[in-house]
Amino acid sequence: MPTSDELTPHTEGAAPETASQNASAPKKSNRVLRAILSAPVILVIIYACIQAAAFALMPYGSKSELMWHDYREQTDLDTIAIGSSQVGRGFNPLVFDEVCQASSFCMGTPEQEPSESFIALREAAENHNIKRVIYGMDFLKFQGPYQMHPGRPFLVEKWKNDSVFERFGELSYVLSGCDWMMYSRSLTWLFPWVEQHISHGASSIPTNIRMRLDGTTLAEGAEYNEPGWHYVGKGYGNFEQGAQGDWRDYNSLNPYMPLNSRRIKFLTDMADYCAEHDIEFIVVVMPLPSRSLSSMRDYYQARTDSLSDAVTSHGGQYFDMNLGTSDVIPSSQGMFSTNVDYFMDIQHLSMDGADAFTSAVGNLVKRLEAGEDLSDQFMTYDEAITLMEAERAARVAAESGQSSQ
Amino acid sequence: MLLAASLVFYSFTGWVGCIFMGVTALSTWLAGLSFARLDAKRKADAKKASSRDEKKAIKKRCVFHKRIVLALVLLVNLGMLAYVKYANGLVSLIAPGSNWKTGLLLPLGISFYTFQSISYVIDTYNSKSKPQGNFFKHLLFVSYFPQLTQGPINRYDALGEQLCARHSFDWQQARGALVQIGYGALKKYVVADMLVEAVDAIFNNIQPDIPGSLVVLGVLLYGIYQYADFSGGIDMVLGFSRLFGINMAENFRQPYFAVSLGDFWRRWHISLGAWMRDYVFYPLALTSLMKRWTKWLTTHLGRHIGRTLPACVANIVVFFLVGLWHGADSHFILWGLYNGIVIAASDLLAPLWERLNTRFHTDMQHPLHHVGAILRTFVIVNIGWYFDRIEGVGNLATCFGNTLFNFAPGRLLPEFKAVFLSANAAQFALSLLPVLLIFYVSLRKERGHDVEGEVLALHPVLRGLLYGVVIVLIGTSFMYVSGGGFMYANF
Repeated sequence: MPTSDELTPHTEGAAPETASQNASAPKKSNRVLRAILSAPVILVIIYACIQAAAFALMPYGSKSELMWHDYREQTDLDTIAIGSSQVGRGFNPLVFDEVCQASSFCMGTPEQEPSESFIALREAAENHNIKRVIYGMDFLKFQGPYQMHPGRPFLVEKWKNDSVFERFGELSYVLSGCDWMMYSRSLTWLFPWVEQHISHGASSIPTNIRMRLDGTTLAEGAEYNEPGWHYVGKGYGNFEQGAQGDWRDYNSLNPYMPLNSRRIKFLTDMADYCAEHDIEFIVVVMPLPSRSLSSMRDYYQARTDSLSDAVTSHGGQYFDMNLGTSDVIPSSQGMFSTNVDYFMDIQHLSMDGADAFTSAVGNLVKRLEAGEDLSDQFMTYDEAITLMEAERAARVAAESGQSSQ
Repeated sequence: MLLAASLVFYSFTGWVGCIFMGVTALSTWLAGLSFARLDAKRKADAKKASSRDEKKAIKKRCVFHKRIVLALVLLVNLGMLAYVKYANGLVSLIAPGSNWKTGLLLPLGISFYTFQSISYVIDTYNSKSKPQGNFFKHLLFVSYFPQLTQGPINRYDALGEQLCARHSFDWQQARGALVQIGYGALKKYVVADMLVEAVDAIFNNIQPDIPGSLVVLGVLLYGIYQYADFSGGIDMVLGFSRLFGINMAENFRQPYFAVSLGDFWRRWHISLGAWMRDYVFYPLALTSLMKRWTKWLTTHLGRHIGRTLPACVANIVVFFLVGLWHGADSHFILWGLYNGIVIAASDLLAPLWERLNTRFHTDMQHPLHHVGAILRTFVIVNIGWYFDRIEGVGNLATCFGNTLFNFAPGRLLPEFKAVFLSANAAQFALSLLPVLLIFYVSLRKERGHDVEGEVLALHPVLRGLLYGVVIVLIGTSFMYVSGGGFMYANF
């Protein structure tokens, strides 16, 4: 029979092990607890650092920020203009309202993609009694691969007032049809200042911060960020008349690429939405200076025809203002596209040009709504170019005749 | 799951690359199994053998068959590598006017997974590793995605079992891995990507009167860029792998703190150096020809020369191959030879240095001696970067010549501003703080500190601030360069 001495060794042996186990257990649980408590602290600090960087580096008064801010203050809109910077600097709502007795707003922003234009359209249609949508066609937005990512300034500023569900829905829409995750720019939603950041270098960071804090308006901020640019109102702004822009060769800056079917789908989505909601969808091709137009000789007619077909087959109306006669798009001298006062660079209208163009669009809308058929007021590309070249030749002859006298 | 992830990752590179990898995986797997089968057959036959001569003949036959299999596998895999990497260059060298091209892009990671697979084949040939019977496990070893773009070149006995073992989530390991990934990303995006344009601006259009001071600046920036790009990428690779519970071999160990060029190569791209040592240097140095030559040299020129010169020749061959591995361009080969020759000269002249140190009573343990050795090695390494970065013999001669005879320090800032700095000052400035941080971390590690452990032990607020600043710096770098590729992925 085992004695108590023989029975005790294992219990005595067990005591030191239990003691050491008990000593290490609190240490481990303390470590785990510390890790659990420190993780949220670290995450909050990282978030704060990112927000601080965004606060300092994202420009106060970006075009998208200004547009969305002013849009949210509008009531009873009946017309919106959407599109890229060509629209943002080409459609003056104040002129349109006077011509058409309307209440319009310019939602054009730099680099606005057709998918983003659809989002703007839908936003306006859901919150206002929109009767007409004017889409300023920029061919460049329909060619080449469709690349999108969540950090786009247009979306970031739009979502400031949106719920998570709305954001997710719109993000799914704009990201559909593009392999956005294959590009490092897909990470820019984590670092929003990558897409839009101060443009005057590190030395302007203090000014940027000061403007955020001292009550500077967004319009003043936007004007600081882009010297020479002035905010007129209702989403529209432009450079002073006479400001010098980039006049490099159009083709070398914007080489030809085939039309992209995904982007055209966004365009037809806009037309379909308008048709379903009894909204006039009017596509106007934004005017280009004659030297830019003539560099697209090989593909312009086919391109404008394709886009016209896409729009009209979905219930919209399409007007190529580069091919309009002087009856549709009058000019203070010669043809619109040859009037150098109307353009600031190879693809943007000047202040005077924007007013003239908007007035023409307003009159176009009035005539359309009066039931007038304007199809015979538009030329083919070749006809337009022939007229422009004849005009240019006559002008040169007149100038050389004057100089010889 | 890892295999599926690796194959999906690699499939994005195209079906041609997948075929190349498939051929490598299949051929090397079959080779390993063949060796095992031949060895098993040899043992079985030897048991039945009646005499010692018969056993010898059986062994000889087995070795012969194994060698044939080894030769075939090496021919196929090195042949594929040589074809995609060097065929175009060779044709343009032999027939300059020819338009012939392979039409193939270099499959992603082919240099790395080929070398890794060859190490498996040779280790199984030498019975150092047991061959893997399951093809999919072997395929995982070949295709494991974190290491594909730029290594490290792992050994089967170190990595193979880890890949197939079960791993449970280790929170401490994961925390360390995230720190390592963040540090790697800082090096890659905020230093390497910010500096590469400066280097290219200096060296892509070399004028005959380029000041030597600008060349030196370019070479120094290139050295920083290359280290940051490669080691940053490796840190991210190792870190991601640690998240899966898989520990890979380190590939960098503060190389710019090396005290000799040989030491530098034991700290830079460690896995390639080890691979070359085990599969090129030792086999070459231990050939019967080399042994005979050693004996002859010892007899005629003394013990030191006898023992050192054959190793020097083997070293030069190794570095020639290292240069060739980087690319079929003369400047890479010159760079490789430069390194091999300098190391060879250093080994051969070792007795002379010892005598000089004794003569001048040099205190080899003094810290200043150590610093001096580091600076001397730094200069030698940077001379090597001349060959590595500057293309064309004419440009190389211009840069070396102007470094020595037209240094013109007064022209450095105006010229650097003109080619790069005026338009990119913010981008350049962004990289300066991280460069100092990298130096500090490297110094701490060189002194034996566990920097990762120290970071993880910091107060949470301090740690959060550190992480936040690093993340903001990485994000800000995307303002200038939207994530360039990895330099060593081109090799």
